Amino acid sequence: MSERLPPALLEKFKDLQTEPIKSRIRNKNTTALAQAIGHKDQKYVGEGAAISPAYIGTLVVKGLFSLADAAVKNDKGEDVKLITNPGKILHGSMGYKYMDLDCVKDGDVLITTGKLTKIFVKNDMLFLYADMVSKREDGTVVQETNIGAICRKGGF
Amino acid sequence: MVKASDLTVGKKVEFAHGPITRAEIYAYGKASKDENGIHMTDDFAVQMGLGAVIAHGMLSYGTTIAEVDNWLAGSGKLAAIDCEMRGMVRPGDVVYSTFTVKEVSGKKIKFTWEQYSKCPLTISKGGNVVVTFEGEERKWVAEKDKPLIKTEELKAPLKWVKTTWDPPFPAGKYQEAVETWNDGGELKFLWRLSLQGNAEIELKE
Repeated sequence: MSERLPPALLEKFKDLQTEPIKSRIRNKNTTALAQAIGHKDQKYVGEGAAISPAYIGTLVVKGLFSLADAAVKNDKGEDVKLITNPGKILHGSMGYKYMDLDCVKDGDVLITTGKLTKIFVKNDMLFLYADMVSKREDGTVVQETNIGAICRKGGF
Repeated sequence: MVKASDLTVGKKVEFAHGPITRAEIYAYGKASKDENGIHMTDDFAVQMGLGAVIAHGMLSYGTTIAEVDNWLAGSGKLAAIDCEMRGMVRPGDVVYSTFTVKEVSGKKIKFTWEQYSKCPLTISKGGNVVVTFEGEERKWVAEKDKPLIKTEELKAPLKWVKTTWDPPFPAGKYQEAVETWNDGGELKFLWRLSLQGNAEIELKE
């Protein structure tokens, strides 16, 4: 348990929406990522490139990390931030279900939204879990994710 | 070409990646826009109590996705994947991923998978340490992880990352090069579970 974040206050963060992450797909960015992780298939490189499933993960992580600025009001009406030191956050787990990644092309905008589903302190660490979804602007779902992060002692 | 008929329950598909360099971690940070200092700057990572930069979990996960995609080579696609991040991956580590077929349902194949990181610590010959790697020098092995230390006789050349600092670690600029050790000996290394989960692919045939 954290003195700054007693269980009742921690509970207020549950169901908190992550900041919507709007990302315009750019070939140069998706290509850079594909090259950074070692894709050999040229379909991930250059003009008209497909996006790697791993690229979607980068959008989701941004959404989760937007929670670092989240705050709720305590009994005195003061804002209490969830995370005090984002450097203490580590990515903990994830599960991706890919729907129709092949339809995502250069210039498309993906909007990734989500909400915190579980939050607790155990062994002096703060555990956060969120369900997230990335859609095209026309509403087509391209992936669903559940993702977890751990904030180490001193970071919350 | 990968075909469903070639994949029976229990069959293993293995991939290796590395040794991972700081340049690779940095490039992934830039490409993914995850430029958290614990991955990008040793100075910051040391301040955060990590001893040195660590690889993004999404990098070791991403390289695995790329390896699966390279293996499929257009004969199918990854439909779903999940994992828990169990241990840190450091510069100089080699990661080994093993996918084991759990279920075959037509052209859909389900796997369990796990990834271990191999962090080299020392090479000894005749009881004397002849090479000390960064993991040993910077004491990356926590007390609780000491039971995970293993040794093996080197029977094949070992690729490793030689990193030099000026001024000294962690604030200095570094230079790194992947070198090969060809002179045998006994390798001491940390063998740690880094990722573990499930995956599903859909094949064309």
